[in-house]
Amino acid sequence: MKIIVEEPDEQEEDHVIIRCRQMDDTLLQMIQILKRKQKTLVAYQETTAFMLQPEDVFYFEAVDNHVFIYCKDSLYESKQKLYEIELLLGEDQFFRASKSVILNLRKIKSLTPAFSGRFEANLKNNEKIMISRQYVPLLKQKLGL
Amino acid sequence: MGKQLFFLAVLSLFCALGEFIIMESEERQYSKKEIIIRFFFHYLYMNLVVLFFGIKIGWFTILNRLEIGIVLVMIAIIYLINVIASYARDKSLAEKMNQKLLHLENQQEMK
Repeated sequence: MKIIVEEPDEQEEDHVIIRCRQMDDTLLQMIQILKRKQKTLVAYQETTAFMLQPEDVFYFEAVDNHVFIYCKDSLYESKQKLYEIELLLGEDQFFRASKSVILNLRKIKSLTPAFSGRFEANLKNNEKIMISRQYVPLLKQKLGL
Repeated sequence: MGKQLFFLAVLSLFCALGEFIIMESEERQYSKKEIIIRFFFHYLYMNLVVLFFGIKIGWFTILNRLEIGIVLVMIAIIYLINVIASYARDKSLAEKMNQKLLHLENQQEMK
């Protein structure tokens, strides 16, 4: 396999082109790694920085101008704003559940009605998150309903 | 007649204003318990509004306990039907969404 690295034109963004006759496991793995790296999140605990994979995140919550990242057993802080995270991950399995929460669809165990058109998401780590009425259509869209 | 229509319109307005009691806050999320308490106050508010304007319009008098009792029962039944119907609709939607979540989970496992 030949590897060629070229500098793109000024207007062009960095991109990777894979030219192959047949897609094999190695190439698929490479593509997976590249895709994951693009969406890796930088998270902080005190002054220590961590690289998190989006699939490990249960939800993001904005409180008092801080954005917190909730994983299964750990809590981090993000320097990004909630809307920036939504732009980065909104196309994937994440969706806005309320004004201050972005939730990972794949971490929801079940949904129960919570009056007034709202729903309560029971997460796989046994936490409960409220989904506001105005964001329920978005959830339905994500689920293909 | 005109006066009655006016009071009916004002009654409708006050009923609609009651929505603010159960409306979601932009600033914080209400828990299930808080929502239930708010629904209870909303129900009390609706009773007060309907009774007040009912008396003003002349539908019934405050001295006639039977009439007041019938109106309160009617409000309770209509309110209950509304709450149950809304809950049933949401429950049905929750079931559909849970099925989709399960489907997603199975797809993920197969990968």
